[in-house]
Amino acid sequence: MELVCPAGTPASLRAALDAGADVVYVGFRDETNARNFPGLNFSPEELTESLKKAHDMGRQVYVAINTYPQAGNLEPWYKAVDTAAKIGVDAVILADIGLLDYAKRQHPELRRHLSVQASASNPEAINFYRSAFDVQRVVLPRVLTVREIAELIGEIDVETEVFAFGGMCVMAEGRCSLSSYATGKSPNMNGVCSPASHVEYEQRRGKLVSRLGEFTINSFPNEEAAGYPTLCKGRFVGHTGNPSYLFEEPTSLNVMMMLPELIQAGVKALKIEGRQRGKAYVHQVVSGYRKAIDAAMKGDPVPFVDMGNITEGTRSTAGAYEKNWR
Amino acid sequence: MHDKNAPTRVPPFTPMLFAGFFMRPIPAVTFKPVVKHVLARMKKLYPEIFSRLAILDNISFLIGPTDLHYRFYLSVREGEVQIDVGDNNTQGHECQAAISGPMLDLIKLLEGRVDGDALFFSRTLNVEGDTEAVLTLRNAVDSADVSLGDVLAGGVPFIKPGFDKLLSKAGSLLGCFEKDFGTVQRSILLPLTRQMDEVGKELDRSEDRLGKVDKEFVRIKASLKKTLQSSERVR
Repeated sequence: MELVCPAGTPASLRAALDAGADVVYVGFRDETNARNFPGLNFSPEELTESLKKAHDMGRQVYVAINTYPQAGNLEPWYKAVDTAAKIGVDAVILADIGLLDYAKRQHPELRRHLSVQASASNPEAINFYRSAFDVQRVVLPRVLTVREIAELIGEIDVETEVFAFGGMCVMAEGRCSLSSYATGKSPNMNGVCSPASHVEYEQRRGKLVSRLGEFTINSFPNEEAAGYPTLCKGRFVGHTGNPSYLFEEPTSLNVMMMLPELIQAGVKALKIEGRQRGKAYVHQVVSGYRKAIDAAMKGDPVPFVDMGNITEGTRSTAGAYEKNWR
Repeated sequence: MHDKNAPTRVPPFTPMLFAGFFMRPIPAVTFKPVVKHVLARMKKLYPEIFSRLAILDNISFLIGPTDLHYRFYLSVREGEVQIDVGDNNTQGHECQAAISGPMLDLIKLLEGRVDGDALFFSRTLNVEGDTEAVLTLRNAVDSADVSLGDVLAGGVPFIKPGFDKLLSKAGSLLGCFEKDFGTVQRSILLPLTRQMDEVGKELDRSEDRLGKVDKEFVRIKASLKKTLQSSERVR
């Protein structure tokens, strides 16, 4: 079981490697990746240096180029693929079929993974990506139960990577338009879900009020744990008159206790979300999962590792993996 | 916009709050050379931070420890980063973004020992104003492995181990103090907490009773309506 960990900066990458990551995934400093946040990500020079460090330690680096190229402006995405290939990264994580095609034609030797942003969740879709673009791995959307994942693995011949920890995305990934609706910018095209340039926090009458564009997303009384300012985790006033969460409460995914089942299902890699988080987060989550995977692989009980302090809303869920609401 | 805006929340009960009482007579200007020296050292030791900050233009941050009366003003103008220190009464700093939290947490954040989002989720850290600028600053600072020991040693290698040892001892001591302060706080608040729990339980019971009364009211209303309809038909 491969542990795939996030890094938004070279310092985070070093933290991930020190904590026991098998693979670190990163992005360039532009809109070609889904964490296009200010002050974050890697320059080609930083990536070259970081890749050398990872390879020296016998680990790997993947590059996410997983946003959708804009019509008439394909160059940044082609350039990102070319740069990743030139630097010699171990794989690129892509979502767009045009870009997959470009990568396959221009750099056939460069390993291609299908990003979660492609939202491929059935055997027909995944097998198509395999036959058309020779993808070696698919990152599954966070909508399947462990049983569904096991059944899916039986019907495809590519490796599977699943999210184990971090931010929850409750919408159809790669197709969500909530951020676009509120700000004109989306994770799919611009690499930003709820861009910071449109986010505002204000202390109002003893409450923390978060706004996105023209919308008030939430209002947290003092002492209540807060979450990210995304519309999908907003608290809205419905017919009852009481504000409540319409889609999802602020919470993080954590499937550590389900590791034996995921191993049994034949999952090849576990992904930790959070390239936008600090290196302290990276170190804590990666250390915890390293310990848990090592125990589960030996058939030992999975140790309890407290992650409460770093979860969104200071809560966690196994989400769709167990779908206990159905 | 954020001119001399003191943190709006009640200060946390920390060792720094206690220390602040004794530091109150010391004017902020006393710390200016130290703070400027720290920034100069950081520029030399961690250029990656400042290259990431270069995308900011004409931005001033107010960094306010919630348990001290001092304030730090960090500005980025035409690629040049500068710092100043003041107190609650300092005038003339127009800031576009404000970050506030307990002093020790701000130091841990600087050294990358805690995650900024986690501090924000737990409401330990508060941000206001230009969120994009705050995020840029956080990401820039987190991109380097900052060590206060390295910064304070001032480039003199043989005194660095001494500083590291001193900071480590101070850190452990402050950690112990933090725990003790927590215990004292819980102990002071215990009677109040118990009382609040009782009030909470009574509120739950009242809510249940009200719910039952509400249901009964709906039932009586429906029954009355039925009776009225029957008597209408009889007429």
